Parts: sequence; C-alpha cells; structure tokens
Amino acid sequence: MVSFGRTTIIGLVFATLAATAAVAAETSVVATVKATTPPLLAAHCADCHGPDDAGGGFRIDTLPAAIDSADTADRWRKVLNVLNSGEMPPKDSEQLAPAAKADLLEDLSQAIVVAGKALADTGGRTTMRRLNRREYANTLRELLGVQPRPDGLPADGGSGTFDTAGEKLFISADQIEQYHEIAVAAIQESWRRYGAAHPSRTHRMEAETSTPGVRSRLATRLDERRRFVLWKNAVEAAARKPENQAAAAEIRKANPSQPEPLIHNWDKLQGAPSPKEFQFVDAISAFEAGSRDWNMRVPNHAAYASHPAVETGAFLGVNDPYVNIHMLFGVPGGWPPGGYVLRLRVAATEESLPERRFIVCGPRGVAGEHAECREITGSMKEPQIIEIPVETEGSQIFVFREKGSYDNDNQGHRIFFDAFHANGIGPPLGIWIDWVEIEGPLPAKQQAPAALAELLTVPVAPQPNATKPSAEQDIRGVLERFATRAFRGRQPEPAFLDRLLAIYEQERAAGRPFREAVTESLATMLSSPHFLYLAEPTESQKRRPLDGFELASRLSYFLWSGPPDDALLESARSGELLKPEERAAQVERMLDDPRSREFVTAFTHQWLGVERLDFYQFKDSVYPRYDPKTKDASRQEIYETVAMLMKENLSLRNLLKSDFVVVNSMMARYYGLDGVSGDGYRMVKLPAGSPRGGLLGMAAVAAMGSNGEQTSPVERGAWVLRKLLHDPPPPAPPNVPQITRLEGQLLTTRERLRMHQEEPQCASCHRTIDPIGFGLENFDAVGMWRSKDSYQKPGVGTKEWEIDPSGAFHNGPAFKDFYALREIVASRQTDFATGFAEALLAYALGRPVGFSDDDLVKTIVDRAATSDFSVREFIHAVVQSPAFCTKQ
Amino acid sequence: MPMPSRRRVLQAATTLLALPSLESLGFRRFARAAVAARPKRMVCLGIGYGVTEETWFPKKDDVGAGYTLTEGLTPLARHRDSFTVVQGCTHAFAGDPHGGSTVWLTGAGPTKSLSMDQVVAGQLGGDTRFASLQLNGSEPGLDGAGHGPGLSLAWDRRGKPIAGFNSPVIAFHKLFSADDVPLAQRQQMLVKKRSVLDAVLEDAKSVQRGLSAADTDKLDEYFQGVRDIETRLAKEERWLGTAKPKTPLPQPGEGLVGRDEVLIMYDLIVAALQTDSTRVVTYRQPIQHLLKSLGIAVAAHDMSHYHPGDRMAASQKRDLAQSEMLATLLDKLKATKETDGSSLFDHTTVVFGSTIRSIHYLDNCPTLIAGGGAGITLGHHVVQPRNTPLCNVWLTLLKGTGVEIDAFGDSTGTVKELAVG
Repeated sequence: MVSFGRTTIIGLVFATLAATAAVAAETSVVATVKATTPPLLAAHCADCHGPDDAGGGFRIDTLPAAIDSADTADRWRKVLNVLNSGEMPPKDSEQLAPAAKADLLEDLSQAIVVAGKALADTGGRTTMRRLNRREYANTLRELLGVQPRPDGLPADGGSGTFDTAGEKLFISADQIEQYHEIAVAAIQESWRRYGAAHPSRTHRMEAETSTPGVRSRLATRLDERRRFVLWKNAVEAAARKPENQAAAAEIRKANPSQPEPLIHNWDKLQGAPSPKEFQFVDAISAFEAGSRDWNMRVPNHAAYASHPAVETGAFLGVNDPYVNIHMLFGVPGGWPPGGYVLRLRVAATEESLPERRFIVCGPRGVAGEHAECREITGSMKEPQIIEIPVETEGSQIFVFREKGSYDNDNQGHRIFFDAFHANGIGPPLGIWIDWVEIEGPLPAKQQAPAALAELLTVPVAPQPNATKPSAEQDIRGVLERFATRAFRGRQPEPAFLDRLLAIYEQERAAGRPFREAVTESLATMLSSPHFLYLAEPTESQKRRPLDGFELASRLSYFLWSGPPDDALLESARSGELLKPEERAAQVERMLDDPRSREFVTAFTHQWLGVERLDFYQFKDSVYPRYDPKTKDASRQEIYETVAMLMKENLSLRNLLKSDFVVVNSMMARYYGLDGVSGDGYRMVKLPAGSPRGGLLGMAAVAAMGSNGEQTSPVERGAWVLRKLLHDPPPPAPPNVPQITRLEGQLLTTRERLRMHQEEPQCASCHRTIDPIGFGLENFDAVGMWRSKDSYQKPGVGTKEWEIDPSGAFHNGPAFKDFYALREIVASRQTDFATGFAEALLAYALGRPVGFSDDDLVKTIVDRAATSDFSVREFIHAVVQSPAFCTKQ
Repeated sequence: MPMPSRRRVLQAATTLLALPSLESLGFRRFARAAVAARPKRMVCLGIGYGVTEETWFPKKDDVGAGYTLTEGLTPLARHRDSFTVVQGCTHAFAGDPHGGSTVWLTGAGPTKSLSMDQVVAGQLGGDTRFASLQLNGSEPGLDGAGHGPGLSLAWDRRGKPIAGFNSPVIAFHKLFSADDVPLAQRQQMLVKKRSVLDAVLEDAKSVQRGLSAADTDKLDEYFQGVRDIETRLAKEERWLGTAKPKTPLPQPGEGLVGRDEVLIMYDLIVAALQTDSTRVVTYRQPIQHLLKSLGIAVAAHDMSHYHPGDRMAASQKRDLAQSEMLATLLDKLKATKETDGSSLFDHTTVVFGSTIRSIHYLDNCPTLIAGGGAGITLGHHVVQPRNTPLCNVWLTLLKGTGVEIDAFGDSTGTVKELAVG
C-alpha cells in the first residue's frame, strides 16, 4: 500500500502556469536532468521512440536534458508518468535495472519539480490581493467593533499555499454580494451595540434548582420498577398454571440466554396480563425501565439524589440523561448584544480523577471547537470562581459539561460502565457547580470604535424643530472620514464620495431614518475594491518603493492579519515609517501587541500543515485520553510554543530540540509532567532524557502523522523532509501500480513498508521518506511514548513486536533511535531556518517564493544566524527587505 | 458631475468581456423555439474519489447492448436500458490523485476552460430564473477532500471556480422561497443595488489606475463579478413579475448529512428541472459524510487506497449506495411528466463520474451517462481505445444537447459509439 502527501501536483502546476511560462522562460534553462539519463533512456526506448519509429508520436532521442520550456518539461513529465505507471517499457521489452530505475525516477521527478517551480517563478512580482476571510473579519472588528464569524464569510480559494497568496484569492459575484450583506449585518449590529448606552445587568442561576427534577425522575424510575415487578409476578404466576407449563418450558428453551424470557413472550401464555395494564407501552420498554435501568442506572441516580451537596448545588453527571449529563444556562431574552462575562462557582470532588477535572462551556448548537475548556482547581471546601468572557446577544443558551464525556456516543457510555462494573454504582460525582451567572454588557466593551463615534452623535429619534445635528449636515465629510479609515489611510476619490452620497440621499428620500440610510453607504464602502484589496498601483509597471500607507498595511496584515492602528497610520502619514529604524520599532511594538497572536497562530498552522490534525477522527476506544479537547490543547501547544519564542525572542532552534515545553496543565499531565496547574500555557523545564521538547516530541505532530488509529511513518517522514529539513519529496505521482503482493499477511509496519523498496517507482521517493518515519515509531498515533506496537487483522490474527527505531538517511547518516534522529535533525538548523524564512516571506508577500528569491532568503537566514536564529530577527529581516518595501 | 453609465465603465474596464446580450431579439426567438421543442437539461454528478475497479466496471471485452451488469451497478438494473457506461477515457491534464472533481468537467489543460455544464448554461440558461445551479455536499472542514481545488464542479470562462450552495436548505430557499416583499419595494431594491454597483465600480476605476498587468488581471475578477451581478439584476428585473414556482416538495430539514443529503439534493434537482427554474445542475457530492452515514468507519482517503478487506468492502458499499441513489434519481426523472406526456428523463442528460478511476489512478475515468437529453445511445457499454480524451465524450454530449461547437478542451472528435444511428 502506498500513501501520499497532499501537495499540489505537477500536472496542475503546468496546467495553470503554462501561459505565464511561455512568456517567462522560453529561453533559459530552468532545470537539467542527469547526464546519464538520456543515454539510458535511448538504450531502452529509442527502438520504438526514435528517428525510425516515433511510437505514439513520441521521440525520446530529441528530448533535451536541459529543460528550457514548459513544453520540454511536459514531455519529460510524460516520460516520468509512463515509467511510474509501468506502462513503459512494455512488459515484453527489456526492463531497466531496479536500482538504476529508482535513481532515474528520483532524478527525473526532482528535475520536473525544479522546472515547475522555476517556470512558476513570478520573478518577485506580488499580486494585488483581496483580504482573506480572517483579515476581513479582523478588519471589520477594528472598524465596527463587531466580529463576524470567519466561517460565515466567503471562502478563500486554494489549498496548499498560504491564505495570503493573492493569486489564489478569487472574487465572484456571489462574494461581492455576500460582502455587502455581511457588512450591512455588521453595521446594524454596531448600531445595536453602541447606538445606546446599555446598563450592565446580572442574571444568576442557582444550580440546585435542577435537583427537584433529578429527584422526580428518580421517583419515576422507582415507580416503574414497582409496576414492573407487579407485572413480572403476574406473568410468572400465569406461567405456573398447568395450561401454560408446556408453553413456558418451550419459551425458556428457545431463549436460553435472554434474561426474563417469559415476560418478553407474555402473549404466548394464557391469562398473562399485557404490559399495557401496568402502564408500559410494550414488553421491551417495561423491561428496560423496570429491570435494565433499575440494575444499571438507579444506583448512580440514587447516589446523586441523596448526596448532601445537591441541596446547595449540582453535579455534572455522565451518560445518564436523567442525571444532569449537562447543565443549561439561558441568557434572558431581549438582552442587548455585547461583551459579557460568564461566571461559575465550581469545585472538583476529592473522588474525581484528575484528568476529569475539566469543564467545557460553550453556546448550545455551535460546534465543539468554539467551546472553552477550563481546569477546575477549586475543592468542595474552597470552590473557585471561573470567569469566561463571551460575546452574546440575549436568548442564547450555554451548555456546561464534563470534558471527554459527550463527544460521541461511546465516550460517556464507556466512562459510566467502566466505573459501574467496578463499583456497582457509576463514576464518582466529579464536578460540582454552585451557581452560574452572566453579567453585562460590560462597560469596557461598550466603548464605540473611533470610526463610528461621529455617526453615533446623530440621535435615533430626531427632536421636532431641532437643528440638524452637525454630522448630518456634514454627511459628506463624515463619509469621507469613515472611508479614509476603511481604506487604511487612503483618501477616497471625490467621484466615489458622490456615489456614496447619492445612495444616502436616495435612502433618505425613500423615508429611511439616518442610521438606516447611512448603513447602505457604509456597506458599499466595505464591499468596494479599495477596502477589499490591498492595492499598490505602480506607474509604468516599474518597481517602486511603497509609500507610508502601503507599508503600514503590509505590516499590519503581516503581523496582525488586520488593519493598521492609529499609531501606525500616523507613522505612515508623517513619513517616519519609511525609515528602517522606525519600521523596526513598529515591528517590536506590533509583536508585543496581543493582535500578533493572529499572525502566529494562522502562520504556524499553515506553515506546519496543522490542518492534517483534523483529517481523521481519533479512535475513542483505542485512545480515550486523546479526546477532542485534548486534541485542541495539543494543537494549541504548537501555536503557544511559537508564540513563546516570539514573545521571548528565543531561537528557532528550539523547535527542533529544546529542554522545555510550553504547556498547560492538561498537556503537562498528558506528558507526565508534575506541578503544572491552570489553563494558561507556560514554559516548563523538562527532565533530562525526555523525548519531548521541540516539534518532533509534540503530541499533535505525532498525531498529524497518523490516521487516527495507526501511525504513518510515510506521512511523518515526508513531513520532516518538507517542514524541518527543507527537502520536500516530489509530489505524489498518479497511476503508480498499487502493491498487493502481501495482502492478508500479518506484518510489522516495517515489513509492510519494505515493499516500497521493491518497486523502483516507489523506492525513488520512499527510500528517502520511510527511514525517518521509522525513527519516530516510538510515538504512537496520539503522541504517547511506546516501545511496542501491534497489528490486528480481523480473521487473520494479531502480531505484536518490539519497535526498532533505528535507520539511516538515504545517502546520509545512520541513527540508532529517536534521540539520535532528533540530534541529526537538530543539526540541520540552517535548512530549517531556510524553510522558515521562505514560509515567512511567502506569507508576508502573499506570493510563492521562487528561485529568484534565493538571494533574499539567504540574506534573511544569514542575518538571523548572527543572532542565533532568534525568531524576531527573521521578522525584522523580512520587513527590512527590498521585496517587502517595494511594489514590483 | 455627469456619471458615466455602468455599462460603459464595464466595457472600458475589460475588453475580454462582452456585455450580456440576453435581451437581444434573436436570442429570445431562439429561446422560445427551444421551449417549444421541450427544453434540454443537463445534470452532472461528481463523486470525487472514484469507484471500486473490480466490481464497478463491466469487463472490457463485454461491450454493446448485451453486456453483463456488474455488482456495483446492480441497483441500476431496472434502468439498464437507460444508461451507458463509457470506458477508456482520460483527462490528459488531470494530475491530482486526491482530487477527482477539479478538472472533471473542464479537462483544463494549459488553456483555462469553461466547464461543460457552463457551456450548456450559456446555451440553455437564458430563459430560466437560474442559468445554472451548483450544489455541493456540505462537509465543513474537509476542504473538498477527494474532489480537489474548486468551489463546485463548475468553472467560469476565466478558469475561476464558481461557488455553489452548500446545503439543501439554502438551495431550497433560493429555488422556492416566496418573495413576500411587494413589487414596488423590490423595484426600489433593484434601483438601490444598481446604485451600489455604480459606486463600487467608481472605486474600482480608481484602483485600476496604474495597476500592473497581473494586478489588472486580479481586478478584472472584480469587474467580472460586478458584471455578473449586473446580468443577474437584469434577469431579476425580467423575472420581477413572475412568482417563484410553487414547490413540489417540502422544505428539507436542517443538518441532513451523507446519504440523506444526497437523496434530498436529488429531489431538489428534479424539482428545479420540473419547475424549469434552471436547466443545468451540477452536484459535487459528499464523500466522508456519505461513508459515515453508511456506517463506514474507514476514512475516505484510506478507503480510496483500498485492498481486499475492510477498505475494499467500504469502497464497494459506497458504490452500491451511489448506484442505488442514482437509480432513485432516474426513477423520479422518469416519473416526472412534461406537458406533452414525455418525461423529464427524455430531455435530461445525467452524467456521473470522476477523474479518479479508483485508488490513485487517473486513467479510465468512471463515466456513466443516462437520459435522453443528448440523444446518445443508451443501454450500452462503450469501450474507447486507452487514453481517449474524456473531452470527446463531453463534446458528444454538448453537440447532442444542441451546442454548436467543434471542439471542447483537448477533444479529438466525438465518440461514434454514442451517436444514435
């Protein structure tokens, strides 16, 4: 079986760039295949594809080793494809020797990748780009003080590149309309939030209000039991009657393993009463309520109902819907939209397991990833108060649950019955809630954004005979000032203002009040090109330095994924920003600002390909500890680590190997590190000899290299080559024959993957990829350390083996275990830094990095090297580079 | 200050694009003639990851009308005279072993091209409320896995992806939800929308000044978008007095996934055609969610790399489900009668397939064509020489649908075996 990464494929590259390539690169050589290749191919192929007989219209002898055009590259790609698919040489012809074929395929696919990249090289040209959905949402937030949810915004086009890549950020009619609709909705919400002062209010719910319901459901269960026993006795009495003895024996014989066979077949017994007479719908529901639940649910239910703490609060139950599997808390209807704080007084009982002391809270009906997960450190003696800031509108319902108990049907069931089978009751009551309250809208969150201040001076209901408010008199000026802000410092054209004014007047003439009328004009600004695009016009298509405002936008969309703030615009207006030292100072300020988290998270996510973590469901029954909230925390660890490097300006090398991790209590516990409590991520020193520290030791990275059930050494090896060693394997080729020879055999992972070495088509890449993956096999599919692995094949059997993590890089050094592998990877810091610099550049410039950027990349890496690769140095080097400061 | 007309700006802005000529007399006359002859329709269903080679494709030497139906096609047995399976065809430029839909309808090579459905929409879309309808399986977070880049199966003439409706509920509302706003108010809305377009175009012009070639190309997308809205508004204006059709089916529930979603989307497709809301529909179907709804735990990508065992069983189960669902679509198309007594099926071409054959093979694309819309030979198994351009099939369908065209994508001709007589 062959497994592949998901990179852009050569075919598509050619498909999309041939037009550009024709102009760009007809003349110069962009890649060369090895000198030995043409003679080798000639020897094997020229009989049929030569001057005498161009089979299929294809001649191999005229194919130059030097690739200088998309056409030549495409012809070589055809050669690669037929070799990969095994189509050529024909089965009855002489075949290439396996080793030679693997080398040839490796060389050829590399040459084609190189040619593809060279032909796609924009020569440093950046394309004007539209804001991507994150940037659009952040920009609206800064302007209007409301945040549209990014997943409700128009989609960004491509995958496989950064979401800042201008070339891939398309726009269509639907999107233009969508932007307009979103802007209207956002402006209307702004009016609601900031249009009038809202006094703050509080609503509290005492959790023990749920107790009577729990008790009444217990009473129902007890009554069901009573009725069930009465019915059962009546059926059994009927069965004992002489006329039923034969039938009863027959029933017992036919259902040897069924509990209570008689009641399930009551209708075969003369004179037995129907369950309906005992107020049951049928025999099955009678059995479930009166027998199954009585045995399995009532002990836990009764323990809950009689616990003294439910007089003053409530516990979160697990799995039994009658016993508080969650707690609901409703925000009263009609409350204004705004920023609120949700407060809970909670405690964890002494009996609760430490890994269960987490509460998950989120709005009902919204996907789980939007829910907060908080550790509970308070005890029953000293409960704690948790505060969660929320953005909400009245009528919303929040749900509180225990982490890892509700993500799927099996989870809670497993937790409940594991405990039930051990103690005859159920899991210990773990999380206790005293009360829940919500307060707001918080005054601090009612501060209207500066852009709206002027507009808000116009009262909603005009006084009769009052003079027109000044903002209404000077509506043109108001619109102009708003547009200048929306356009990030750029003045709108008078003709555009005329149009906006015309819309406003049209609306007023139709009888609409001020705010409603102006909403249309504002929304129009927010769907116009100057707002949606980062435009940098160049006269006569020449390279030119950016002006202050353009630089301010490049900087803010790079480091904040949002618009420039007043300080940055001021620096742009005064021309200060054009000075390198001012730029450097702004970079420092911006990286210290919390908005830089947008950049760190989004960039890191895309740079390292973290989206892979969501490709698979992690099998709950095999990896119960890696529940969705733990997965989120492990993903967060990657971002938090990079953020820590950024905050403390530490060396990038720490991502290859470090003596610390950046974790919260959940991840610390996952890694077996003691003494960490709370939800905040912080730097924690590792004991000597720990496999953690650096990306390779992170649970999320290991999990990304799995399919949710088993590790994938291929994915892991390819990831290390791509992301850490700056040596990406060629993209997965289509049409390689799938290997099926070892079908149905019980093999170790190594044995299965050894097949990759048998076929040259596979070996050409997998000999480089697979060994690295083997070195990481001590991490299981969810990043726990292991020394054994096993493989189970239904119907065949199970095989268990000791993991052998040793291996050797292809044409490179050998390693005996993970630690040695990590040393080798860590020693390649310059390669890693080069990949990082390229990624940063591509993200910051919004274009792919090509060969024409090699010098620039080297300059950045060299500069960073002078400060031991401290991460901010890379950012400074990018920001000061000519590519960043000029439009080309 | 005089305001130049929006149309003139558009003409100036982009020389590539001709203005809509939908209202021209000649077009209307043509459209009426088409209606009189019962309009033709096309439905394209993209499945992303291919099929199970061993059990879906008929044997290559078993061609013609009498071929043996394979296991994967068994659920379609009652329609065996109503569809044809074509083998041997490939898109030479397809290169993504994990994306079966990106170039499926375009065969896009070095020259970017319009997808087949959009070619048809250009011909048939003028007289319906929607020129074409794009539907997508809703699989949030999966980013088109198995289908490849794109926003639906459809691509516009500039090679840009066309967005689609991602849920049955959205599609239902677009098609059938009554507009209860009074006419005068809707006319006013149109005026307002036009003012908004005028304004954003004004801004676009000022952005355009001094842009580099590449940037101009980028901004052209915006102009194209505005132009499309303009076309839409013109259409909306024409349809202003016409109420949306009465819905032949109840509003779908929220949150339908996988199999349930596909079935309801099929109902919507029939309803859209039946009410002549559109004549061209594409549907990029859910993959992972379909598996989930069939009780298959194997991940879609893993399933695509099947080999005997769980994964192959999953792949086969998926094939069967797809064939069953397709069979119900054909049932409904046949059961829906036109005013002249013929059925929708008689005038509709249904195309089902992917550029991925199975596993990660991109040759011999699975291709199943049903319906009388293009007048092709039905009930046959047609095998073309290896690596025949799939665009030959598309060209055959386009010609059969009445598009006057001599080539499509990398086509080298039509498929003779598909032509009746």
